[in-house]
Formats: sequence, structure tokens, C-alpha cells
Amino acid sequence: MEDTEIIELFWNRDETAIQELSHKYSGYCYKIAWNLLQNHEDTEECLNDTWFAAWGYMPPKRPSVLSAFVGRITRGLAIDCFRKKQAAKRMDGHIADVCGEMDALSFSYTVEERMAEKELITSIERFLRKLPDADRDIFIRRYWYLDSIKDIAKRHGVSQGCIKTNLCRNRKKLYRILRREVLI
Amino acid sequence: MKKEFDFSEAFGKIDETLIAEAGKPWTADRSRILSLYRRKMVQAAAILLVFAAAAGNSHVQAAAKKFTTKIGEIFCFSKDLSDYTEIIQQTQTKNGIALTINEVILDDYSLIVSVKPDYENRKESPYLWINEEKTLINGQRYQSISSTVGGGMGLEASADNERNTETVLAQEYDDMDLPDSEIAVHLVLDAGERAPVFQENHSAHIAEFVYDFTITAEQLKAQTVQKEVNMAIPGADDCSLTLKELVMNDLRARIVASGVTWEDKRMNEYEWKLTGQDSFGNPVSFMSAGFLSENELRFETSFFGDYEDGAVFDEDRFQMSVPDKNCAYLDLQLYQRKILWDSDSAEKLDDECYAQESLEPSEVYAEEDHYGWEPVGDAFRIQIKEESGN
Repeated sequence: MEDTEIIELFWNRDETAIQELSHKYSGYCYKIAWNLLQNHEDTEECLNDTWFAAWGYMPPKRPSVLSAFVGRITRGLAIDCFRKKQAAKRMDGHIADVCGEMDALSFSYTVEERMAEKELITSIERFLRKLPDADRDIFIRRYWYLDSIKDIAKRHGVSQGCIKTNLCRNRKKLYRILRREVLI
Repeated sequence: MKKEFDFSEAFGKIDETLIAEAGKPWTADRSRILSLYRRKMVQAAAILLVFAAAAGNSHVQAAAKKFTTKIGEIFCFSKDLSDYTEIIQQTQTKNGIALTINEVILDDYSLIVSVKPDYENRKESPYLWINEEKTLINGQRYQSISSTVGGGMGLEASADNERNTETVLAQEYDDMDLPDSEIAVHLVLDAGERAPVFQENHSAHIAEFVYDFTITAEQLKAQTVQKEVNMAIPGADDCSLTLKELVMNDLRARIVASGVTWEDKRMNEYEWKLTGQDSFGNPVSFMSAGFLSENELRFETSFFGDYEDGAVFDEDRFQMSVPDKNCAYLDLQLYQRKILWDSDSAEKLDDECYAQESLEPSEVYAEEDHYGWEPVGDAFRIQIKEESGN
């Protein structure tokens, strides 16, 4: 079923909407949640919450890219779920690495500094669009889709070291940009 | 008052088009299209120079007479491609652009399309590419491993007769394993501004052109030579490469090798090529071009021959580097070139890895250094046909 038809089902409050949405995107959303949670029960729970959240968002929302819309819901739920559980147990290698890398790009700023979060997101988007296609794909696969280094290396047919180098270079570049935007 | 910028949360809110694009299967050479495109435009310009000089050079004129198809002419294929070429001649017009698909060649490894544009009153020529997300061959979508552009498009052409010259778009694939019967092709071409669509100007995409036609790959498939090789590089004790298979036809040739994986440290240290000649004396050159799978390295011929970036060559002696498919053997030598890293840019990431920028070979090596290429092991022969007895 086309995305526009699925969105229409939500707008018409047709209960088959959730069935159609999960039929089309369960694999996609499962991968996103699994990348962080690494646990079948938590991942399934995340997916169920995704479909019901979508029911709450549409209407009034009418997303232009449905895959990204539901993927974003899943990602947010997975991160929330993960944070609730992380204090209780030690993180494994991949999860610890990706969280550590993202934490390195987080920072505090005072309310007097002009940049609101929305403007920082715009800066991130501008940074991403200026990257070469492969660098952009690597960055988004790592920090949005939460893929492992190994999976990204396989996707691009290069070594893991190559991916680590690429991410490190671009994280540093982005951090400099974000700090400069906040401090000016 | 302090506020927290949580990157993981903020990154989740980036533009959906960026997310969706990264959600698609990765096209192995999508990222290289632009850098490859820029390099190939230098070589395509050289091809046009060949024909500009034709009026005053009988050698080039004689060669030009062999070109029976537009695709052959633009890519300077010395073989007659007319048996494999389907004449389509379908025109679509949108947003002031008329695109006519003239010729198509299709086999298990290539889709090559010649396009004649008419840009009417446009001041600048758009950038054309095959939309492989929407293009279907025999009802299926295939992920290409590389793309090449040849001909008039992309050059800094401003005169009308230059802007509307024929362009050839070529996609290369792993092995589509197409049937011998008629194959339905649903071809989608995109036209955009010169800048790639994923820079800030999102209105860069101009129009989409759709063509439906049938073509048979039978002729070219029947002419394709496949040969198991199973040969280690002789005299190269440090080199673990084993050549496994050779595939070649009038358009292209490929050698698949095992013995190195994409995790191998050498992939960060060296680039490789196999050069030599076939039994007819034609120069041949196969460049290492990425992996088909984790441990299958491919060496490919190029539509534009073996020319280094920045090299000056004699246009009268311009030559492709594809072997003749009817040759009895290939005499080859493996070469390697060290990838040079900018030591000033080195920084340590962790116990295993450090980051460095690489240098362009053309910035470091000169022709007298053979552009940095060094032989590995001994020259060797791939026997394709048994030699007739005396």
C-alpha cells in the first residue's frame, strides 16, 4: 500500500491503518529499535508503542516521508526505553560506543546564548548537506539509525577503521560548528 | 540559566528527507559519482578533442569510421556494437527539456543509454542521471556498483550546439543474470541542476523522464567470455591475491580475485591494477574497484582507458584498455601504488585507529615516477583459449 493511502486510513480513523503501517514498516522500525535495545521483548514493545503513537499523531500530522516519521517515533521510544534501563545494567560494546560518541556532541549552554535547539538542528542539517554523500550516509546510519561500525563498514564495503576515522573527523567538525554557533 | 543540548535527541529531529535517503540501500559508488564524474569529464573532454582533431588527421578519421553507434562513438569503442544496440528513439518533454533515448545496450553487467537532449532556451545544461530507485529491468530494481557519464553533458559548454550534444549514461552491475528473451525496461531519468540535489538548494531537481521499452541481452550475453582462472600472482610471496574469474565482452572486462578482504590493512595502504596486453597486442588495464562481497575484490576495465589524473596524452593515440574478447590470452603484470597520507593531519582515535587525510596521487607522483606504480611479482599469462599445436 502506498504511504499516502496509509496516511488516509489514519485520517479516516480506519482501524486497519495500524495493520497496514506495521505490515509495511515493522522490519524497518525493528532494526532501529534493535540497534539500541538488543532485546526482543523491549524491541517488540517499542514497535507496539510506535503504532499507537502514530495513531495519536495522525491527524493532525500528514508526514511527507512516512518511513522517516515512524522511524523517528521508534528511535525516540527506543532511546527513552534504553535510558530507563541503562542505570540497571552494564552496556555492551556497541551501545556504549554509540552513546559515548553522541554524548561527546552534547553540551550545556546558558540561556543568554542565542541559539535555541531548533537553530542548532538547522546547523546540523546544514552540516550534513555539505558532506559528501558517503560521509553523510555513514553519519546518519550511525547516529540516527544507530547502526554498529561493523554494519556500516559492510554497507560501504570498507574497513571498520575507515568508518571510525570518518566518524571521528566529522564529529569533531560538527562539534566545532555547534560550539561556534552557541558561543557567538 | 543552563540548558542542555542533548545531541541524540536533537539528531532525531533532523529533516526527514535526510533520514529517508540514508534508509535506502547504499549504492556502492553513489558517493563516487561526483568525484568520478569530475574525473571522467576530463577524459570525456579528451574524447571530444579526438573528434575535433579528426578533420586534420587521417589516422583518427580511419578510427572514427569504425563507430557504427553513438555509444561506440562517444566511448571510443573500437568494436562494432550495432549487433547489441537497440534503437529506441523515444522522446519525453518536461519543463523545457526534451530528452530522446536513442540507443540502449543491456547485458548482465551493464545498462548503457545514449540520450539526445534539447534544452530549448535553458542557459545551462542540466545534470542527467539514471534513477535506479525507480528504474526496473525485467521488473526488478538493481543496485549498480558504478556509474559513468560520457559525451557532451557536464562539460562547461555554453554554445547551443555543444549543450545539446548526445550524452551516454552507463550503469554497471554485479551480475543481473538476465534471461535470453525480450526484457522489459522501465527507465527513469532524472534531470537536475549542476549541483547535486543534496546540497542546500533542494529545488535542484528539475524533472523526471520515464521510458518503457523492451530489449534483448541475448546477443551480448552470447558474446561474453567467462573463464575460471584460479591463479596466484607468481613471484609475489607477500601477495595473497588469487585471480579467480575473468569475464569479458566487447564493452568491458572484469577479473575477480580472492585473498584479501575489506578489513585487510592493505586496503588502507595500497591501490592495485593489472595492466598488459592481449594476444592481439591491445593494451589492457584493470583497476581495483571495490568488493563484490567481503572477500571478492574486483578489477575492472574503464570505458575511458588507463589515464592518470592530470596526465597529458597524445589524442591521436587515445586508446581504450578493454581486451578483445576473442583474444587467446592476456599477458598481465600486477602493480601497486602506496596511498600517501598527510602526516600533519594524523590524530589518534583509540588504541587501534588513527585518522589521517590522504593525498591525491597527481599531487605527488610524476610521469617519470610511473605515477607511483610499482610492479608486484612477475608478469604472467592468463590463457583463455588453448593454443593450436604446431
